[in-house]
Parts: sequence; structure tokens; C-alpha cells
Amino acid sequence: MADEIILRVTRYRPEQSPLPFHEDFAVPFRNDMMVLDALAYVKDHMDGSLAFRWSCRMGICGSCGASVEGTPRLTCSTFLHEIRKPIVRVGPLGHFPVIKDLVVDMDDFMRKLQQVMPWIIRESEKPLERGEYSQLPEQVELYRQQSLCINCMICYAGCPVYGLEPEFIGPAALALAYRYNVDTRDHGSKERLARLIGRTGLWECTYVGECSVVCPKNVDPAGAIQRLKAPGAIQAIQILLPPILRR
Amino acid sequence: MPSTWWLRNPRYFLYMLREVTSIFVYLYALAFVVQFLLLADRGLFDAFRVLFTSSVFRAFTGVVLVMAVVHAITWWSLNAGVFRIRLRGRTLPPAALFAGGMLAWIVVSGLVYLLVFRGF
Ligand code: FES
Repeated sequence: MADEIILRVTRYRPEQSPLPFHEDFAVPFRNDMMVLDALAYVKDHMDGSLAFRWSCRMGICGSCGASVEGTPRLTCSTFLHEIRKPIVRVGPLGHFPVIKDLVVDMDDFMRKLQQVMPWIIRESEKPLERGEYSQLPEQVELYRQQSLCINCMICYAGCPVYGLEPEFIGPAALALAYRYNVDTRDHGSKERLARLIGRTGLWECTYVGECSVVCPKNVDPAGAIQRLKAPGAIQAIQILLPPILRR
Repeated sequence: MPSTWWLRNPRYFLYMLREVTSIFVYLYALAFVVQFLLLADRGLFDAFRVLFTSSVFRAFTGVVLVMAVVHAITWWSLNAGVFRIRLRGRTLPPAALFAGGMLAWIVVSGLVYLLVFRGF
């Protein structure tokens, strides 16, 4: 590849212009360079006003998500040479309001995350001196994959349903709901499911499957959502039954 | 989102294709059910059979077959990852479930064919 690549960045500065625009930066190319490295180069050497989020630089914190060549990805885990193009387009994650340049507003996601109660709910706690709540390896295996979610919101940017219906709870939050519902230490699955079987929950997902394709941690939110649909349907039917017939 | 969002990436397109193929399968099933309902009226049934054996309907059946195959392949390739079936302490890999699902679909289709068209 050439010694230089053009980084075509979508800029948005509401205080200067109401519309986003593209700006090209010629960045020296190295084979071991990530997209995030190129953005950092621009910020350090060319335009200090470029705004983007990052922290760990190793695919752990989930803060560096952006649209790279139209696909939502972690910029710290995407090699420039993988893209194989002289001009690399980088923009903010789709489906989210943009605050500035590549920085998007996460409030909606945070609200939805809380909505599914992503924590262990216990009917009663045992005293500390009785030790931890132990689990067998196969019980951990039930939720291990979904517990790897880093809240990077890349699945939301890939999900066309969320783009069309912003009230949809969305892939990551539903995957986390699944993660806690199958955790043997949790007693809150009914309460959690009750929040998912409404108009904006499970049934909004039409199983496009893109969330699982773009997820950088192989969390498979689409699969988790489909697995929630059977218990969700049972609970929805039970609500219609007279109380004496409900389990 | 623009109404052409599904043209943005090949996987969105494949999703739309899967959804569209289900319409053809639905139409064929509808025609099949209507045929059963018409069994009560011999005259109507015969008229419908003429329609069912016409070259236009045969062509439609061919299209439905292609659509059903596309639907089955895309459906199973997606859903194979959803089911968690454990066998001898191990979760079956999606590829095995895909193969099993396709095989089950072919076997059931064969049985339906024998039952309906050969009356075995
Ligand atoms: S910087 Fe932390 S995941 Fe990319």
C-alpha cells in the first residue's frame, strides 16, 4: 500500500454549521496502524479540534465505535490495511444523534440499559458468612457469551430496526436481559421479561441478524433475543389468563 | 432512514430476500388450503384443478420451489445459531444444526409429497 492514506472524516460542528461535512486528511500509513491511530495522528498533528472517543485502545472499553467505510466497528481494533482502499471513510455511529464530529449522544442507550435491569435480582440474600453463590461451569456457560458485551453500541448502529424505530430497546440491552435471565443466581426473570414483551421490546426484532455480525465481541445479541421470545410469549399469554391458571 | 436502506449492505438485502420469499410460500400454502376447502364442492374443485395444472400455475410452482429453498437455507443458517441443544455434555455447533435442520426439512417435504401426491 502507499505511504499515505486519505482519511475522509465526517465532521459536525453545530456551533459553526448546521450540516455535517467531510474533511480529508492525508495520514502517513504504517502497516500496523489502526483507524484509531490515524484519527489520533490527525488530532495530534493536523487538527486538534477533531472530536472522537477512545480510552483503552485494546477493544475493552467500547468507547471508540465509529462507522468505518459504512460498517460500524471499533476503530482501535480495525487495521487500516484491512480496508484496502486509498481513501478510508470514517463517520459517527449511525442511528445516534451526533454531538460533535464522531462523538454521539449515548443517553438513549443508557436509558434502555437501565430499563432491562442488567443486574442480579434476588428474592432474598443469604448471609455473607454462608459464602458466595457458586455456579457449575455449564451454568456459567449459559450466559458467558452475552456477558462479554462492552456496551460499544455498535450493534445499535448496525440494526436497521433501531434506525427505523428508535423506541426499540435494541440488541445490546436485550442481550443483557437474556444474560441475567439465564443466570441461575437471578430471580428477576419475570420482572425483566415483563419489560421486554411490550411494543418496543422483543417483538420489534425481525431478526435481520446484523447486530451479531458487527458485534466485535461475538456476543450474538440476535440469537439471545430469539431465545427470549419463547419465554416472552409464554409470559404474555399467562398475563391474559385468569390468575388461578397462572403459574 | 431512507426506504432503500436494505440496499446498503448485502446482509440487509439477504434479509429482505428472506422476507419476500415467505410471501411466495404463504401464497402457495393459501392455494393449497383453498383446494382442500373446495373438496366439498366437486364442480368448483375440478375448476380449481384445471387452474392448478395450468402451465402458468406450474411456472408459479417452480418459482415457489426456488423461493422455498432460498427461505429454508437462509432461515436455517440464521436459526442454527439460536438453538442450544446439548448432546453428551457438549452444545451442538450451528453447522451441525444447520445440516440437521435442512435434512429434516427435506425428509418432511418428501413425506408430504408421498402423502399428498402418492397417497401412500
Ligand atoms: S478504545 Fe477501548 S474499545 Fe476501542
